[in-house]
Amino acid sequence: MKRSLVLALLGLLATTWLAAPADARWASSSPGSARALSTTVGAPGTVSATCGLLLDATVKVDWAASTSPWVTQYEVLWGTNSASPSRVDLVTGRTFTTPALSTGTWYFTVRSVKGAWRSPVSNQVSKSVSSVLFLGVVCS
Amino acid sequence: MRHKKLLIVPVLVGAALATGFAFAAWTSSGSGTAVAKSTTSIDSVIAPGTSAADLYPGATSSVTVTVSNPNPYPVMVHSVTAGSSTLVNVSCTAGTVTSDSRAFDADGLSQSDGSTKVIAANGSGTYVLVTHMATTAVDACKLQTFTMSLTAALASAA
Repeated sequence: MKRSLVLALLGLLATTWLAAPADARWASSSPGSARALSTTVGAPGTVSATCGLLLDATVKVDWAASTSPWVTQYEVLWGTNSASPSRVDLVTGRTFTTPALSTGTWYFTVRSVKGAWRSPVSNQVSKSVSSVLFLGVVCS
Repeated sequence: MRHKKLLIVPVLVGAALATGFAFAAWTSSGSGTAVAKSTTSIDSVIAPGTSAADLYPGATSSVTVTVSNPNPYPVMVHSVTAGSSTLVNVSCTAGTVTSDSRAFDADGLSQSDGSTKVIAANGSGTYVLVTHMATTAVDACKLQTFTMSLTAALASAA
């Protein structure tokens, strides 16, 4: 009788063990997709330009921060051709001072930078540097 | 000989009992033996959920995916593979955006509410995935939609 009980239990255990893999069939691997969206980089705020000290012939350009709070760098595009700037300076911060300029009208725009991203350019500002007899060059 | 026969009977009885118990476990979802025994459960559908347009070079953000359960029994998501974006346009190449995997959790992954783990029968669950945009993302990657293929491991929660 005892032996019968033991064997019955063994049979129970063996079948339960064999039944276990059936549970694995419940598992499945489902394919699908996720979607992420990128933003763009906002242009800097209003740009302004001021002349340096008398006879300095430098121009200081400053601007308000980009509408994208994560922007930390800006490009100042400038030159004597209003449509095609010949110089590009990458700056950290929101101000840029030119070296002493030669005579002519100088145009400035600024755009925000993040990695390889560039924002649209800002408003354009300009300053004229002219030669004044006995005084040298003057910015106005 | 008679003794041997006597031994076989209890073994068969035990086996029959065990099979009965096994079915009992399978049917704990209350959907009946036939459903519980099915080996061809309907695959869940993983669809993109919400995502803010907030990725920029070097940024980390998050998106959601919705996992629907078309089966008449509850399931749990145990892991989600990492994802990598497909080609967006000629310049914005594949792999620009990636999503982190969610590592295997035997107790099931938490849904977006931070606590729910079971997706009810014929229900759906929302899961959060962390996403990254490469620092090298080019200008042509602005204002784009990035699709990442991924796979989720699910199992019956019954």
